[in-house]
Amino acid sequence: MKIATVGKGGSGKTTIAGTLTRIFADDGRKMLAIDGDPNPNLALTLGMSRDKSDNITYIPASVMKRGGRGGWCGPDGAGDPAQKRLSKNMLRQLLIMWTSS
Amino acid sequence: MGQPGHGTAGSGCMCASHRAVRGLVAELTDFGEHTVTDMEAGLEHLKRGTARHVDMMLIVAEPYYRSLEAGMRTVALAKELGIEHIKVVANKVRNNEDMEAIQTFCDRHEMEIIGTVPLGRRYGYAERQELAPFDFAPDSSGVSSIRKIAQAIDELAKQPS
Repeated sequence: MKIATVGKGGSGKTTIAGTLTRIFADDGRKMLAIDGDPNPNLALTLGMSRDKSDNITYIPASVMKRGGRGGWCGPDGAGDPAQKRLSKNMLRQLLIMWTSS
Repeated sequence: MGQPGHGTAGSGCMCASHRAVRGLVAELTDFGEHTVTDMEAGLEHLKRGTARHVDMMLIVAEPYYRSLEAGMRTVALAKELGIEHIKVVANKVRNNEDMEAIQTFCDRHEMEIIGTVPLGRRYGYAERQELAPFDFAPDSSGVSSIRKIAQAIDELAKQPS
C-alpha cells in the first residue's frame, strides 16, 4: 500500500507518518519512508538523530528531469533507463544509510 | 527529496521538488510492503499531482473548523485524483467534545475517519531529547492509537481492490 500523509502545517502529519512507519517496521515489515516535504523532518520522527538527519544526502535536481505525467523520465517522456537506475541506486544507498543508523 | 538550495529564495518555484515526489512515489514500488510519504503541508502540491500514485491518503486533521475545512477540500482533491482510500486521522483530540465535533463534521461531509489520536503533551519533550515518539513512549495512548490505524490499513490492504 502506498500511503501519503497530508494536512495543514502543524497538524501532526509528520509524527503520524514516522510513527506509523516505525510500528509497521517493528512488526517485521519492510517499509519505505519518503520525506516529501521541502522542509524535511520526517527522519527525526523515525528516530534518526539530528546530526545524522542533517547529513542525509539530498536527491540532486539533475536526476529529476522533466517528464510526462507522473514521469520520472527523459525530456521526451520516453524515459532514460540509465538515469532511472542511477536514481534507484542512490535511493537504495539512502535506505541503507537509514537502516544501519 | 531535495530542499531548496541556499540563495534560491524568490528565484523560482518548487515544481522540480513536486515532480521529484510524484516520480519517487510512482517509481518506488518494490522496496517495501508499505510506502509512507510525508507530504508538504497544504494543498498546492496536490494540484500538481504529487499524490497521484498513492493508494491511500491519510488526511491529518485537528479538532477545529479551519483544519477540518482544509481536510474537506483535500478529500475533494483526492477524489479528483482517483485515490482509492481517502481517510481522515483525527489528531490532537483532547476530549469527547473534540471527537464529537470531528465526527459530526466528517459525517456531514462524507469523510471517513480511520482513527483518532489523542493530544500528546510529551511530544515536545521527546523531540528535545531527539527521540522518536515510538522510542520515547512506545506504550503511550498516542502510539497505541496509531497502532490501531496501522491495523486498519492492513485490513484495507488485504481487501481485493
